[in-house]
Amino acid sequence: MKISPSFSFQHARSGLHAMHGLYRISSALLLLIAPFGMTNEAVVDAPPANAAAETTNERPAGTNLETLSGSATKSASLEHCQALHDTGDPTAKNCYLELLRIEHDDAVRAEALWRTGNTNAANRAFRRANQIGPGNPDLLTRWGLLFIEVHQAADAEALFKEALTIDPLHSAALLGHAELLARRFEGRAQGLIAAVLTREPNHPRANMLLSRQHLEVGDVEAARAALTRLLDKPLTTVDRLNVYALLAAADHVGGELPSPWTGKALELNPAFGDIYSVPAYFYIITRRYTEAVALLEKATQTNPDHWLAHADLGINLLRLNRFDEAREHLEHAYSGDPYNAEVINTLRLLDSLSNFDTISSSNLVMRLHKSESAVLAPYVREFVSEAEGAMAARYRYKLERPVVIELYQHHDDFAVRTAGLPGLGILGATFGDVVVMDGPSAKTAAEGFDWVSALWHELVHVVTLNATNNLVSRWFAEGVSVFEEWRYGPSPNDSVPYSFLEAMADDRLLPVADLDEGFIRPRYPEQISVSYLQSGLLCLFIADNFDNGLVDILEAYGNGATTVEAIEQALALTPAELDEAFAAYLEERFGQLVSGLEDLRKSNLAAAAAFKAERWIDAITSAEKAISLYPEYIGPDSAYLLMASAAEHGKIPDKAMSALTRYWQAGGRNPTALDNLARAYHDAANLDEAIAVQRVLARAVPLTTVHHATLGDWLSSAGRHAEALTEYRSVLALEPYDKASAHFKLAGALHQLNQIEEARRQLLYALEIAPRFRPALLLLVEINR
Amino acid sequence: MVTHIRPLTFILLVGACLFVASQAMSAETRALIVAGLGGEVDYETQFQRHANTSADHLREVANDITLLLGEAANRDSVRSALAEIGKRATAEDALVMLFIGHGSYDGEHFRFNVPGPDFTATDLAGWLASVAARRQLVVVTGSSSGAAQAPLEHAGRTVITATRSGEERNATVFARYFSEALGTRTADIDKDLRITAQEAFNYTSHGVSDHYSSRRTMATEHPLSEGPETAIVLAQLASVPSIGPTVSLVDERRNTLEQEIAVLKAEKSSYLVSDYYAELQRLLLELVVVEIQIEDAAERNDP
Repeated sequence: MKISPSFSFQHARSGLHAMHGLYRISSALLLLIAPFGMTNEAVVDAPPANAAAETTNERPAGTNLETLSGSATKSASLEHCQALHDTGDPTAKNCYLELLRIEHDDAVRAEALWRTGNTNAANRAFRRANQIGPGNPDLLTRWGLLFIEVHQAADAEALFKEALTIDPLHSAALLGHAELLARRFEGRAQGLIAAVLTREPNHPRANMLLSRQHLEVGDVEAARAALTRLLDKPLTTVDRLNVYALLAAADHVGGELPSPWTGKALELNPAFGDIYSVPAYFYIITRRYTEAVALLEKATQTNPDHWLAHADLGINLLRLNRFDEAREHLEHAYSGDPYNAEVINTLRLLDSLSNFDTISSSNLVMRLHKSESAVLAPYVREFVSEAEGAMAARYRYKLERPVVIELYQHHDDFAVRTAGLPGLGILGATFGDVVVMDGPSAKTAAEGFDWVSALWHELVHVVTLNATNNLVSRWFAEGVSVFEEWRYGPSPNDSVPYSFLEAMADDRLLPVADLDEGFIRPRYPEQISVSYLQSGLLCLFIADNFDNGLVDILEAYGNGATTVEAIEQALALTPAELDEAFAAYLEERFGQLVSGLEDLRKSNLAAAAAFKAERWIDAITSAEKAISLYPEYIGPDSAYLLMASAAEHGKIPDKAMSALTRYWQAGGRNPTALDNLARAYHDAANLDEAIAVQRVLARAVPLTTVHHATLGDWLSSAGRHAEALTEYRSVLALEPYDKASAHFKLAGALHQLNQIEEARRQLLYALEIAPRFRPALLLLVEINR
Repeated sequence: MVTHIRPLTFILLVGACLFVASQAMSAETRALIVAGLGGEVDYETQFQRHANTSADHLREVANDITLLLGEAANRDSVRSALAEIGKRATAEDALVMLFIGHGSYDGEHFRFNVPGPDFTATDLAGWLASVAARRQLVVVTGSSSGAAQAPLEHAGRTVITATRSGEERNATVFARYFSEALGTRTADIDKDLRITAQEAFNYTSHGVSDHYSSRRTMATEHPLSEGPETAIVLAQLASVPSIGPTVSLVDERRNTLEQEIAVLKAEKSSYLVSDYYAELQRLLLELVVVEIQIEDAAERNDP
């Protein structure tokens, strides 16, 4: 079946479809394929008899037309126009317009229309060409590349796949598909690139894509090797320019600046903005946003119509908390490229920020939704203060600038803020001093989201990124954050999910020198989460076995060391020796558990089956066995939770209480379990424990009135009025249904703290709502005595 | 647009309301509570539990309660019960009807599901025609109940439904919050220890909304109240001292003070904030003295 993509570029912000799963970070990959700007201005795409073409595209760039055949004599004209364009010749535009005036072949017209920026007309021309001569893989591939340029990856992928069904070895289609996979950091891209290089070792695009893969993991020499072999080969101008851009990127990644390739590229084409934006991409993926922004500013100055550079500049300025400049560049990007979903989403998000409060102090800037800021701000302030103090001592680093923290109510808003697109699979991100993350209403504690631990995790990133000027490796940054969560965070625990144990059993852990790969190009579905855990455990191992090991590694990264160098300098071990020692540690800690995984799985299954069949005693017995095999485990499918529930159903309250207590002591944070446990402690007159559990619950589920109200009441009855006051203020900030009671309780705490005038004010607020509110009336009398 | 009411007009309005309230207090509240067909054991149990809970609370304020559960809750018995109530009710009485159970809507008629043939909202409207009580409250807690609004529309009748239309066809959680409202101080917004129908509705709407938002699911029911805002009392949260004639002067003073507070609140925008709260405090401190006098008199059992 032929594919006829519906090529409906939207011309307004509304109605643009999100591209699921596409995680584009930069324009840099795109330039390898079709480095064209676009305009919305009309270019007549009708046959020449009607032609009156005009375009305002200022910077059409070249492309490799090697695969586009069909009208040889006319493609010569196309190549001529291309050559003019590639060198920045201002007559290039007229050349394309003239070509459109005389050219009848839709395939050639599509190319010319594309270069004049009329992507809609180009699409129609491609479609006509495909109708006239179906089954041409060259045409389908070019058409797919056009779709990439207008950010419609799914349509592009379908066209590449169709081309490959016709010719499975079609190099351009293989590389087009590889391009899309690489943009999603999928390991399969490497196989497609290799398939081309095996047959054509000097294929320019294949080598460029390969060099990009090397640069993404910091392998500068391998990248240079792939590129330099091309330099003495015949290359089109655009290919040569792109090779220069990647060589410049290699110099940036390798820290060998200034790069000679910048001047060479600008000599060839003074408007070649990608000589800056390509290296910027590699700064972006290594979180060095200041450097990326500086380069992207140069890219937009070199070519003011480089819409993708404007888009990337806007998005990365946001990461530096430079909102006004960001908006300016994003709006400029939108004016030239109205199809870029990242730009549209981000502009929409910026519009929505009018619903946020910005609360600033000397060490902290918080952006919180107006409906939540009064409740969340005290928590965030407390965590930042605590984290800064603790981490300054542990990592010998004191933050110099205020930390910016943004909490989002909706996960997709966070995702857009982070990557420009919805559907991101992470919960928080840190850009230097700027932390953006899901807030407690984006994901619930019942879903297993512990927002306070996530905030702690991100705050550690602020330290590790700043302490190393963003030079810290991915594995180490994540490892320290995970380690901190486990040991010092608000919800400390020793629980490692089964997925890690299974990876360990299957020998799927990576050597430390390659651990970054597990984050960047995962090779199995759980590899990213396994890599987080492995990194965390590795940092835990280092912290427990090497004095100042973590601090010394951090310092080494700050001095520009690679992972291998950092380990050697800080631990006096080779990475292989560290791997060996770490493997022994894992074996000691988890070896028995891993070898008994099958028993554990059977016990859990038996407990679940018995529970389902309402055989409560059997469920408790099996759960108890699972707990004995792995008592630290507190994940969502924890045997503690099942046992507590079975005991409750079976009316064995002591057993339920015991299960919940052990779960809590192991670090479990399921809100229903904590709620039950807190009430059980309270009912048993164990007020201190009840308060301790309820406090964690109120923090884990901070936007639920009842948790604060209950905690406030218990604190009051324990005589802890100052703490109760905080909780009652939270209740009021949440706009409770029963406001009179909320004001009254607040007044009571204030009265106990001898803050009489404020207490009187709160009483009057209560009585204004409910004049017959007897306890409030009596307190009013009392404070007026 | 802000509507300003002149103080004198406001005092007259408040006075009129209190007069109506005092009249109403001397009248009877009669109630019919029906638990419909559950279809499943869980629903059957829930419906009967909510009906029993509601009846327990209503007994604190009503002497004439008819509770129909299980097989007894059929079309004929509902019709007969209303006919019987009609015989006893006077125009001054209040009639409260709670229909707890599933409903259905075929695009034309709302049907309340009971054992045997269902009855429609139009049937119910017809049966109510012979009941003299001018103040009526109909609460229909189930799916599609919004479709009962139009057929039951009548002067002096408040109709509360769990859904805003007949198209909201999923099982509802409305009844759970409504029966809960009758027994919780949280629902008693004005802290007079009584739950009015309006307070119960407000509490229920809030609870239903919270129920869906806390579960991050789309709300499949949107409670609706049409008709006059009703002060019909559905529950009493604590015993209220009975007031003998010798206390009536003090009681009148309490009513006057409450009127003055209401007027003050209505005129809040014309006061300096500090003056407003000073005056509010003065009135409240006087009110508390009066309240204590009433309570003391009641405790002494003054005739």
